[in-house]
Amino acid sequence: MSSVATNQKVEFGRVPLGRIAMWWVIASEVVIFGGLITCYLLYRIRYPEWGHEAAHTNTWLGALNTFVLLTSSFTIVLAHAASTKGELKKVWLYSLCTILGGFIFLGVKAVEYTTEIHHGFTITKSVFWSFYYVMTGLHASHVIAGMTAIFVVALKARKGEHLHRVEMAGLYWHFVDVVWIFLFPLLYIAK
Amino acid sequence: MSHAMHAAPTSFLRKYVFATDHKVIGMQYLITGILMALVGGFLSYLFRMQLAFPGESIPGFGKLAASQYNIAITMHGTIMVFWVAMPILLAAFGNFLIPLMVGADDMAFPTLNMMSYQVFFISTVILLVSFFVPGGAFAAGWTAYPPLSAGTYAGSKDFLSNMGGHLWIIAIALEFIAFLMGGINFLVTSFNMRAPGLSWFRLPVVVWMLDLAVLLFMFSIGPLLAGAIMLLFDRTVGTGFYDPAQGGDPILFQHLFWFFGHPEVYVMLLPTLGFLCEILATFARKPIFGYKYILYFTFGAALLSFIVWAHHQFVSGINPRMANFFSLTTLLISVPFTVIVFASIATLWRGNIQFSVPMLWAVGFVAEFMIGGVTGVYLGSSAFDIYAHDTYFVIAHFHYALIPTVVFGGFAAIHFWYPKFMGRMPNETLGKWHFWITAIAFNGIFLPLFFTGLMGEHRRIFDYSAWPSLMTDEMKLYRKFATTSLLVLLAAQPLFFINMIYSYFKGAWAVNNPYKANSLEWSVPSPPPHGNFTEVPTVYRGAYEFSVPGREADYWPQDAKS
Amino acid sequence: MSDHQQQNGHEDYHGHPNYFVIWAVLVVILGISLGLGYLGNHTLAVTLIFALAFVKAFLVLANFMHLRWEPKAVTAIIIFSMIVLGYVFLGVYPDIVPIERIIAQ
Repeated sequence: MSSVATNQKVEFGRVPLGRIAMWWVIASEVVIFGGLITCYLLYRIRYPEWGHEAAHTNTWLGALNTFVLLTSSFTIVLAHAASTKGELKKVWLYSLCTILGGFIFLGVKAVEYTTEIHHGFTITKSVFWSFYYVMTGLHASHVIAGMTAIFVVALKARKGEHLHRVEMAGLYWHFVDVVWIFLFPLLYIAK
Repeated sequence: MSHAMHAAPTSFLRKYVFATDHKVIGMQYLITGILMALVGGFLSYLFRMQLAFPGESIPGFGKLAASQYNIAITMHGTIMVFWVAMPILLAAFGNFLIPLMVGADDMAFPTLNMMSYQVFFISTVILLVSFFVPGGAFAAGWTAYPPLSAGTYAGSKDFLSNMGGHLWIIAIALEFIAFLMGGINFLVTSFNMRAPGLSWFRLPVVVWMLDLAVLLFMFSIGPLLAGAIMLLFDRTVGTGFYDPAQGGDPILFQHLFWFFGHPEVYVMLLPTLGFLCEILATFARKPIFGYKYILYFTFGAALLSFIVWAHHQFVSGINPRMANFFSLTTLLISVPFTVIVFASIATLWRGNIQFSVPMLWAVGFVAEFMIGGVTGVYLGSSAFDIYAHDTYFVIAHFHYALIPTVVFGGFAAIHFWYPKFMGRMPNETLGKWHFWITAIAFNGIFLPLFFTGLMGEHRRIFDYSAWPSLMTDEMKLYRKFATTSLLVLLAAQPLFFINMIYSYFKGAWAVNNPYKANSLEWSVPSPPPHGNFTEVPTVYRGAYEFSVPGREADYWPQDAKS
Repeated sequence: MSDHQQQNGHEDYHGHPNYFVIWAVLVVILGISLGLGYLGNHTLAVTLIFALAFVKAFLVLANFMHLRWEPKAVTAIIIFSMIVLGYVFLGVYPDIVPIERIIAQ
């Protein structure tokens, strides 16, 4: 595989194997999450009164989580940039920052879930809450998967091995971020 | 162009169990699929015996209870679609053929490939285990419609006795994930690892078909995976996604299921159409008629297949205006496949035809599939479907589509590529007896069912004694005839196994290219060594240069310089 | 592009933007979305907030995920998966959102 200069477009058949594979993974996941979101949207349009239910999600905590994920996307792309320059220490550092962001996200979600369940908004309270828990739960499991992938890759990367995998793990993390970008307005705003 | 190849494995475990070689993984999928076909076939034996001889003890099993009947029909459908058709047609032959036909040493991601089979294997085990848990396996139909499948009836939320259904959902979800993982390999290998000179339009049709099938699968599975998760939560936790009492809607599941379910039948069909092209060209010694048109019409059909799904739901209470739309698209989708049938006939026209066993299966596929296709046009017209829905007419229709696809197509492919992957020639005589008995018996089973369906025989009924009009002598005769034909069909299958096993040990040694075909897999030894090609081949022409005027030989391999 | 290569860095196959600027823009958009929640007109607010969500997603896809520098076919794959979702939405809509409600709005 000959190297291509920066700023040059890549021929489709020359996209590195790992990256094209990750895009296919992302495409299939888009349809999975998208399927769930589409079902939610259909029901939401059918039941305008869900706006009242959505009032009980904590918009500020949701916004905080959005900020956390956006920032962690930023740090992982910095890790990728560092990996192209061979700056191993930075790769490790930025990867850890991203994982920290993931922990904060999960922590905030744990606080939210606890508060909501405490107030009686359980998964069976209404179909809105069923969607809320299933969608954010599925998303959270992908956050955990992403954090694990980044950690495993970073362990090798900080020794200089398999640096190209930083980008692939990063792509997955960005996808997880994009899903949340849509989940946030769907579940937290629009009362 | 090749990535760093894993060194040839030496230990038994690495060679056959934890294998990363695409040929071994293909074999793992094939054998699993064939074994599951035995399970699915046994289930059909059970329920057809019950239907022909109601209430009598079935040899080899005993009396079939009504709940067991429901399990049998559910698991028969589930197993045949997901654990026989997909692994054999798509996974096994995709794994066997794609790397060889594109000139690669293995799939793009051999370890991922191994993991995809492992996930599939786990899903198989879970499904089989579900037969033995309290309450037995899932029994709500392979289509798993709620509310029945969501267990939202009072008293049916017993977690343990519903375990069969929970396991069914988990097995299916894992199987989907396994195929998503495997599918990425197919796509990336075809896109990135083609040999020099192998442009897209020089690829054998079967590679295109396998990739298109993977794309259809990948883009249609998402909503169903989401729907399955929602169903699992309805069953286990008591959410109300599909429960009208809680604000949900059962029709949503039907839509999600069939949004995937319809492209799924083309996922099964496309590989067989690919095998058809390879076999017809080889045994008619002629190029495929209309190679590019076949591809373009197949793309069209694939796109259309995303917008026909609700023809499965005409009578379930969908908006009638939508029924108009779906009726139209369903009728339209018959056009591309008709074109492909014409192209097959044109390929055979004035060819130098050799009726080898693969050719018999392939030609048999075209003839029988047409009956399935034509009756599909009947059912796609919503007015007719109002009458025929949920009758045996539908069962006969889809078996006339699926059995040619899976059984005829599967046997065709197995016989055709057997020399390549096993290194021995299969026995033609055994193959021909197997073909003729199977083909004739198959018609004996399903032709009567068109008529019983039109006479009002409902699907999924254990015992018709409550409907006197369905217990006439004529109806009983048809049922007995169908079941007897099934017994004949089942009795013929040992011929296949004997052929496969005997030939492996005692068959004539296979040369590289016993059928004098053109694609790259025939340029390597039979069976191919680890790494397939000693050096990366260069491709000079398409895969169908048969009987080229001016050439002495009636074939011209893709990688031959002159 | 071998899995077994060991090197100091891998080749940069694509260009890249100023990541910090993109991040800052994203945070600003988030702030605007929150502010829009206080708008009087509910429908307008919802529409704008969703539009901004698409803008944010596009920024992440194009810049952080480098879609701008990948072959168009990769973008096509992602667009196609969204089109597929569009089919699901359009096909199921008439059955889930009852007509009476549509008329009543």
